[in-house]
Amino acid sequence: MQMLVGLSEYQSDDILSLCDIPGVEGAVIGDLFCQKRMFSHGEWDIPRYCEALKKKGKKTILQTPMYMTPRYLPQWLDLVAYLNDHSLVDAVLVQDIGLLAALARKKTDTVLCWSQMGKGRGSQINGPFLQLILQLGATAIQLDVPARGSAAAESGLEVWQVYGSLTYQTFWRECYSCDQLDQNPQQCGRLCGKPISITSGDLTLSVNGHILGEQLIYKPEAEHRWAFSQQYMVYAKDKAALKDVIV
Amino acid sequence: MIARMATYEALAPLGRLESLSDILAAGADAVYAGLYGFSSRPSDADLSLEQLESARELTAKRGVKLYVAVNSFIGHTQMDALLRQLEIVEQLGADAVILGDWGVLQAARSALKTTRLHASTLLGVYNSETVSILKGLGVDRIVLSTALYIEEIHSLLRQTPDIEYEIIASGGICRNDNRQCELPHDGKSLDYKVACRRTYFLQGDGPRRPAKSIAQPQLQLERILGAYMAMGIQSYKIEGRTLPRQTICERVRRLRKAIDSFMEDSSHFSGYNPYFCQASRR
Repeated sequence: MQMLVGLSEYQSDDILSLCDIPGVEGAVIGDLFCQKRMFSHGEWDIPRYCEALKKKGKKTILQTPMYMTPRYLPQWLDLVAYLNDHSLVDAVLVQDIGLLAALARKKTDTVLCWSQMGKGRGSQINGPFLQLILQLGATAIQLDVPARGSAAAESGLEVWQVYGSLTYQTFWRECYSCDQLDQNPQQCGRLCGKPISITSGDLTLSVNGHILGEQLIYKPEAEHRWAFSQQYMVYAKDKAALKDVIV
Repeated sequence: MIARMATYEALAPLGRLESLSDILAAGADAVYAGLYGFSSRPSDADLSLEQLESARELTAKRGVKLYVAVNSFIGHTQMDALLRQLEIVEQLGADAVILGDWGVLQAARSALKTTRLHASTLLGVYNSETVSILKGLGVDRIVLSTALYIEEIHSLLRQTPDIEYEIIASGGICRNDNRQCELPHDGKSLDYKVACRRTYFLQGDGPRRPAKSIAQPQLQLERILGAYMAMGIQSYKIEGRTLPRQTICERVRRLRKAIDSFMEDSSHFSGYNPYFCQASRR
């Protein structure tokens, strides 16, 4: 089983030092909502970071964003095509059915993996759904619960085990940090990096790492690597946190 | 006048069977109810199969459509039980089922012979590629995501006009990603509260202060409904199966009035609305 890592935020030298961590075979590049949050130069850093990983002989996994609206779908198809043409990407994580189908039609060797963020509220998956994503061209699925993993493996999908929920800090496609702090999102200053807590009584808005997403949830059942999974993906806020959670 | 060849539907929520007569009297063209046991709302805002049968009798008499919503996410173990219930829903004569799970949609197409399929917002439809896949799966109507901006809706409809579309025209919409929100949804129907409607406080570097509301303001599209009608959206949904009967009826009346007034006289509107002009030329 190979170990892949992903950070919520990359500093310029992180990508190279990640490659030096023993056992790390590759990294996940790309933010679910805002590339400015993950990289200091926004989406311009994606090809550069993929190239750096490839020079080190590591795998590059591209995480595509959440909202594939008519504005963003063509842009991301172009980006994946560019990375494919330059052999800079090994797999793409998708959670949009339309993007999955559009990428599959390109018939490249790039693995298409149904992202953990493709789940619904209940995180349930069922046989017909697994068959649908297989038909549409996915060959792998990211999962964080062993019970679902075995069903996915039986359906013929590769299972990529996730340790640590993904995080985000946006609300309805808008940056919640900018909204709360009265900041123009175009001049964000990466306010999402600031510690902000939103509370109401005993409720803090970090639910399973969602919404304000400052916290990552590591489920005990995902600490151990499952026999039927092919990739073990570890997410962390930053490089220091990653060293603490790699097991 | 907007062409009569298109019909525009006022779609009302039905959380309690005893509200149905009033909702129909208020002017709904169609109502939707949650299927008991398979809905993401409190169970007392859902209808059992027996209640759905009663609702079907009354709606059929009035020429009103009945849709049945299944918007919980279904695991392996629940699928067979759900499909059996959907077959009964079809026998009852429901006009459509609203489905929020890709797997259920896939399975329902084989299980149901005549009932129309509506794709819920929970499927996350953001582009024409996804619309095409839904068409391929036999879906008749797509309920557009509330996260789409108006120009994106326009672009979607222009790229794939040959399917029905529905939008939420009145009521609360999720400001969080409505497919994945894991905030608590508490309470029974009449005191039903979603956590985003609470008062929050912001704690950052400085002193604690009130946070801005995280709930989206109540949506009321009545004044600009014509823009969406001219784009070609057929159905206008009122959100809120857990709302009191009077509130639902009031919203139905407002929506009915708005649809009818735009149908009767859209001339005041067409002068400055680009969507209307484009739709008129179709």
